[in-house]
Amino acid sequence: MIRIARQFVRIGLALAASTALCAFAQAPSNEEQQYLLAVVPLIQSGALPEAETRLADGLKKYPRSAILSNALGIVYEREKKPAAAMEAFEHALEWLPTFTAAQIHLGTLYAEAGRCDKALVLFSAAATATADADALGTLGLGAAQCNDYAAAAQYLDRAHTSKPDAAAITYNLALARYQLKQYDQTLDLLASMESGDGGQKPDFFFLRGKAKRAAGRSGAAKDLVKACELDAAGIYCSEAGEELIREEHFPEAAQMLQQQLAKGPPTTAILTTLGLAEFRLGRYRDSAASYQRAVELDKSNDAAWEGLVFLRYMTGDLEAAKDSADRALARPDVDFYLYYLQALVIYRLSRNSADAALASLKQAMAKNPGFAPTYYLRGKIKMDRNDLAGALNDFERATRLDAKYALPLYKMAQIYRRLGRQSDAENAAQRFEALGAMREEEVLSRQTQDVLMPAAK
Amino acid sequence: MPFAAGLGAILLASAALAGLTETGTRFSLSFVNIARRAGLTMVDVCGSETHKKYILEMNGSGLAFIDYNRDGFPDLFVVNGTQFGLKAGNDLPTSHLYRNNRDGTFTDVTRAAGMTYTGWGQGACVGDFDNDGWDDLFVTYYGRNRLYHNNGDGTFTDVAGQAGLAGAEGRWNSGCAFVDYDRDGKLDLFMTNYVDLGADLSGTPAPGSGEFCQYKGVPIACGPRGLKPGLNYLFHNEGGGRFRDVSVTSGIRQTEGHYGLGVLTLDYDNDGWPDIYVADDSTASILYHNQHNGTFRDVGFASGTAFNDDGEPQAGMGVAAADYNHDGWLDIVKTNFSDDSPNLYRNNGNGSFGDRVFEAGLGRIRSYLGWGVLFVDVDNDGWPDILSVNGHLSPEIEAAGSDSRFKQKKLLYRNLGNGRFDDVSSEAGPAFAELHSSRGAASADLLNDGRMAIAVNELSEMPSLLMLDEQTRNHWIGIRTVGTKSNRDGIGARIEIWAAGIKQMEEVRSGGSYLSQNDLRMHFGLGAARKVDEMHVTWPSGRADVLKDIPADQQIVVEEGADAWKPQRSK
Repeated sequence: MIRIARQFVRIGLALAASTALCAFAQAPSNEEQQYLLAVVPLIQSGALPEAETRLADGLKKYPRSAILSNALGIVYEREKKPAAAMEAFEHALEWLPTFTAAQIHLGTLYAEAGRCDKALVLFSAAATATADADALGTLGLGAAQCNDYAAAAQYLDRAHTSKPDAAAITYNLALARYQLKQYDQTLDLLASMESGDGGQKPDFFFLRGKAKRAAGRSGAAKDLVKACELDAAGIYCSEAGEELIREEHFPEAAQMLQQQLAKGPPTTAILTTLGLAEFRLGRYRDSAASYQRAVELDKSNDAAWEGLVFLRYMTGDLEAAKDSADRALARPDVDFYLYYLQALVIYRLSRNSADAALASLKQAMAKNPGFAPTYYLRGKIKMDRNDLAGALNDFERATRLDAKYALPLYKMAQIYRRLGRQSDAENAAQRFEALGAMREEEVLSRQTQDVLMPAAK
Repeated sequence: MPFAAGLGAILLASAALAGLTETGTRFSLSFVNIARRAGLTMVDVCGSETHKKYILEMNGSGLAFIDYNRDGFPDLFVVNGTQFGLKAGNDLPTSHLYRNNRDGTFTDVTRAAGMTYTGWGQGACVGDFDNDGWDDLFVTYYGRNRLYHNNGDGTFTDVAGQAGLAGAEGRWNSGCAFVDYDRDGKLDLFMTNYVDLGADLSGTPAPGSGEFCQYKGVPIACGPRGLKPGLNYLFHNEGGGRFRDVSVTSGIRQTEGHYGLGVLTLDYDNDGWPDIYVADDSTASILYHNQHNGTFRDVGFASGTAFNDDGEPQAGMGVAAADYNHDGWLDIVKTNFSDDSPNLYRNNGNGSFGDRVFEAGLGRIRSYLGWGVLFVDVDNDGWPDILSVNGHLSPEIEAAGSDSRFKQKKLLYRNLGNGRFDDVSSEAGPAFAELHSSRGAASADLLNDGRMAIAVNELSEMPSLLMLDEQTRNHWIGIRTVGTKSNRDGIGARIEIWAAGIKQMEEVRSGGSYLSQNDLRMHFGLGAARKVDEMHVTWPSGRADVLKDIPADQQIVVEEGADAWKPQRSK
């Protein structure tokens, strides 16, 4: 969802001058105002060093002038000196705590610096004081940046009421509604801007596609593909590919992603999504090649490694799977799932290597003690070694961690029978059958959604 | 018993070290497909060749080796299907009966034999149901089955209706096996049904119309999931040419909701009573344990043969049994769908099995969709090898461009004698390089020279006949059983042989593989041994005959109660 937040449209760049003017209502002296009005043309023309010097001089002449300090903050912002800008805005607010423009600017800088607790307080105060649509739009953007989508929607809703034709405000409000899982409202807002310029942009199609998917409506993939066609930057195309895969349009997904690769430099997202499409089409050799390219492009990408190892495991190329797993695990701070995959591969290669598989499982469990399949696999190994009590413990733990996990129950029923516990065996068998085990092909296909989809990200 | 258990084990090990078998050496045998020059020129028909609307058009058919004229050379019956919309007067497809000319060729005797029926033929199994000494043939259909009674003069008469085995129109009968489940000396019949399509197929959804109507995004005919499963049937032989449906009273029907295909009969728990294993598509497979009182109980789940090792159901197709590791217990191999592995269920000897497919080296190729499967000792080294024939559902799946193609190669896994198998397909001659969409498969010693041939029913093509282009250096023995108190074919008889310290074991079996029938004669490779030291034949009647010092490299006949063997005479 972070990805969506980054798509909020910037609408506050034109804010500096107008919000500075807002300050006139907050009681500076006529001399200060005249001084500022003389500097504003310098700011607007981009003569920033000169404006900075003039404002610094002005602050010597008019100490504790909130509007001059606010203007100096704006100059520093434009000069990309955020620390200095922050200090200037803080001075402005120290001298005039209700200064709305300074609140907005400082709040925005805080938000960008990740200091959301302070930012949100300033946004809230500013929103109470202003009815300006652009200012409210900026406040909405800032709140969204701090993941406070409820506040964002509130500010943007007021802005939208005031300026219903402003595409950026409408889009941002729709995005905030999407983040709040209000998908129908999202789609209504997007429908209202469809006929304008904003309705032809890739962001628009991307968000509408995501909202349609979330709302369970048809046409999601079509919108995402349109976004990809309008902007081949990568993110849209991999999302479009994923959606086509979810809708089981595998050939279309593969074709679109291959075209994308032909157009520009490969990205991990495109390659791994293509690998997934190829996997679902049963083009395993091509799929392995795509994941291999993804790994070569970004060796630090755990998910891409996981995709590669998983693919080779499930297609029976166990030596290659082990080699990939070993290489992936040679890197520092590796995800638990790679240890689990390594254990799967080792154990399928040879049951004589069970000790090595157990060592991998131990690592996986240490990193993530809540993943049921690791206990299932360890239980299987123990069962092979006739450690029935140990196996039973692991299978029971696996079912406790995942109540819908059928496979441990199958093994538990077998153990109970061997132990002569017929009633327990029948009970486990009934629970197993009630859960409805799937064919391995289906299990693996489902796992690709869980394992390989994240790889695309 | 020739050896005490401990001594036997020592001798077994030493014999292996002494090179009794040729395991560990390079596989040097070469199979060629001689079907065309052998005259097996019929073309399989199974609905549309290119656009298959119904699953009925995908499953193809089996075939059966049957020595119908008792000349000592196995003949071949190739089951055939049909197409929708064919009208009388056309050159309608039929199944074909080919007489073995004893020289590597066959003569098509279909018309003379009276077997020109056209229908959706599925599978076939052989058994002398009336104990008249002439092997009869049961053929399953989507529609009414045929029980071809062998008249002993080269002709057959369909008596399915009188026998009570024809069934109803619209029933999709699939696998079958004759089995004397109550050991009364008369062969009973077990039969699986696949999907309940009804008579007019009108309830079957269109290709691509639902979850179970596509393959990797490509629309194909629907099923079996989403369609109503068929039922399994057991018919008791009442004598006088009549059978009685005991499916309910025998307990067979306590297990329902499966899509039954391949049928295997075997005494898996060595209790002397035949059990029945069913390879089921997309659902749990079934192991019917014989309760010794005319009833069966499904122990598939409990025995570990219903699913793979993880408890996942599979799309079972074909099935075969052998004691591949010489531990005295029959093991099971089963083929499954693509993106999956076959099963090699090793019998633990305690009523349970363990799926050793990966350990044995059979789980590496996952793009193949397996159908017919055989345990057959092709190199006569004394260790049964595994041969599977493969092919995907329909040509339409090619649109996915997947690694799993419509036409696929056959696979040959050589038994290394240590629990592992080696994929020798690429070394096994040109027949294993050919691409077909294979279905049924069966084996026989066609020329009584110890070379095991494999016949394969190829979807929409002529059959294949895989023949070794030269003799193996190893020795062998072939055995035909003739029951006296037991059923005449000796189906269900267990044969144990000892040769150079190695004990092998097999059972005479009707049905098996994918809807097919191997030669009823047993075949054992003997490695370097020039004779069988001892042979035990345990008959369904309970009688055990012991035979000694039988020279290798011949087909022999063993008659129940004779305590002797005689060479098979060719007429």
